[in-house]
Amino acid sequence: MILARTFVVLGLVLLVPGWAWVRMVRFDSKSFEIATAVALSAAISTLVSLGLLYAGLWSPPAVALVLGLVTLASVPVSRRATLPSRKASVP
Amino acid sequence: MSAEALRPSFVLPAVRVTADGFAHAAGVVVPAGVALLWSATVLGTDLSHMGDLGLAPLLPAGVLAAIGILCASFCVQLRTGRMRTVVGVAHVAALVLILYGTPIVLEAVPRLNVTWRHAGIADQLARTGHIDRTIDAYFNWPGFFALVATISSLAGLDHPMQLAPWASVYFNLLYLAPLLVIARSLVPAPRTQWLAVWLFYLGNWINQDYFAPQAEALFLFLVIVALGVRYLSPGTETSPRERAAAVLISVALMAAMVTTHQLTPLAAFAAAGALVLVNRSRALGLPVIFAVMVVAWVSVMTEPFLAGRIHELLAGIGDVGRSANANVAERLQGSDEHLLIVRIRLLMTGGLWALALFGAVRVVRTHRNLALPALAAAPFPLLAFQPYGGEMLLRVYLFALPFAAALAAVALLPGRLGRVRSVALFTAMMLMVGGFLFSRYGNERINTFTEGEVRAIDRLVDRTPQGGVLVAATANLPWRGTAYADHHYVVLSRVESVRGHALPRIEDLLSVVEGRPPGCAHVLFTTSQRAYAELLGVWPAGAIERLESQMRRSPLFELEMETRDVVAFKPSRRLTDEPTTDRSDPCNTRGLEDA
Repeated sequence: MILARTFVVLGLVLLVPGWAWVRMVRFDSKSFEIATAVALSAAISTLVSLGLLYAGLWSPPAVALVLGLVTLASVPVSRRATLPSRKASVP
Repeated sequence: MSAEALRPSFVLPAVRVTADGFAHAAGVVVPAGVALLWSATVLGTDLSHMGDLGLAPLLPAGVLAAIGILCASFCVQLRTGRMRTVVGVAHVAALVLILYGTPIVLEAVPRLNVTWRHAGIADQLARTGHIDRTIDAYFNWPGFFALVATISSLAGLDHPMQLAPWASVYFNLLYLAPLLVIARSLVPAPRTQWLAVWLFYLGNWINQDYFAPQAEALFLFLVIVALGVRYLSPGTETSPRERAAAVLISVALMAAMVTTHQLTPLAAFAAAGALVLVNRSRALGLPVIFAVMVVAWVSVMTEPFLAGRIHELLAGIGDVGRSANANVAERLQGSDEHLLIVRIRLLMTGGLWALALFGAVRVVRTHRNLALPALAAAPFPLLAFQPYGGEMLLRVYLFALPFAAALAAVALLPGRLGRVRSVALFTAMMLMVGGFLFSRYGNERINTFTEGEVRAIDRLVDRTPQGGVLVAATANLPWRGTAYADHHYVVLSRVESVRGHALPRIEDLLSVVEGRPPGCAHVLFTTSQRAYAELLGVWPAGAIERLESQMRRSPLFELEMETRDVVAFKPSRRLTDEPTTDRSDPCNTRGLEDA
């Protein structure tokens, strides 16, 4: 149970927040798209966690809430900015 | 055209497809089989006979055969000239599992004393919910620990340490995608690209991929460089919006990196600057943005740590002699076997750099490609910046490694891969494997701990009141995983070093533990501390044992705990004071500094 929960949390913290934002770049490698999403998610989660820690407001639910908002904020931006994949654009 | 005439052109492609299909199937099946062979044999390693040559001499033949088969299979796949991504990934995944996962499955508790401290810092943040920047340097670059605290708390883990054991494997797997993009963008032929990635993993012996800020920071660094060479390079097919997005993502990654690690942001700045200098980046302002971010963080957010240390830190700038002494000469000490390990490391480093130099000449002459040599050279000015506790050369090696490995691949694979050259390449790989195993795991005797050590330390910490003092002979023990900032942790070798003494002295112990109320001070000696002092030559052989026997005879100390791995003493009544009435300082340790 704890293992499953850990994997879900890893996905939510280290994949989801960056995923929508990286769609603004046309990746020709799926693995690099995922790696960039992981890196950006780690960066966002780090900055959110730090901000809350310095403000004395850190708690797991607070971090989850802010990360959820960051992810939601990316949806309209990435919908406007998403480009067709480079492979699909090649005739 | 007759049916006869059609047959050869019909049959030959079919045969080729079948042969390709077989090669590709073997390219996945062989790594899977190798992983199985490794898992079936690795547990036969007997760590009880480990000496100062570390783990490599103890590895069973099955593990070595698994690595040999994997390298041979990789050479065969390189010869086909069209290695599919899935085949390359399967080989690299198996290599990472074997090279980086072996100690994880063999050792009872996570290796490296720093792993315990890092988990302890994340635990401290998760327990308190705030950052006290006065504790130590880690709390001035707390990005990684904040992230770990968040993940472990959200996942409901008992302790952040539960995320630590497999760190070397998952970090190295994370490095793969950006490494591949860098290789595909800068290295000419597909098989040389895969060899570049392969050589990175064979050359990454320096143990900076454990549960540590620098491991995460290196991942961010590689993604930034990959974005730069793929999306910001002149001549690549990218739209202005894509380039803007690549810059924004790079800046976001750098923002996290400056909060996470002291050194990696400087390497990222150097790499971004190098790409601009050789005209391989259209983001001319990116190095300036990176520099501003580093300066802003250091000057604003690390002030409590830097105050009082700034002269000491700046004193090393430009002093290459001091840096070389701390990075090379001071490491050439310790037992004879350890000296052999140090020489193998120097040979590995020098060998890879010599190959890289050869490859650099080739890529500049043949392909007019300055980006790879520039990226490989970019971290070297850091050597003149700071000795970094004698580790700067290692860090420079690491930051240059992705590009040095690519240049070495160019040197090893200049063109067609015939039978003779394949055998030579396989031999070079096996030499590197040997060098890797001895270099990376040569210190394993001091990097590994027992469950008994961890349990004994936990018991001592649990029975120590807030603000108590724990003294160890050397820093090599699995402590501070819990109660990181609740007590004072003093290392006698540092006290002696500051006071200029060549041997551990009971008088210096007294100066730390005397006058504390009962239960507030403990002195502990562990198997791993003794191994550390012997292997690295901190003190002459038997120095800790002599101090221990002095303490056993002394009326000033009482034996508090004795197990197979740990001996602990507490001050006798003659040394202790009455409990203080100051509730904020029950152990009367205000003013005592950790050492």
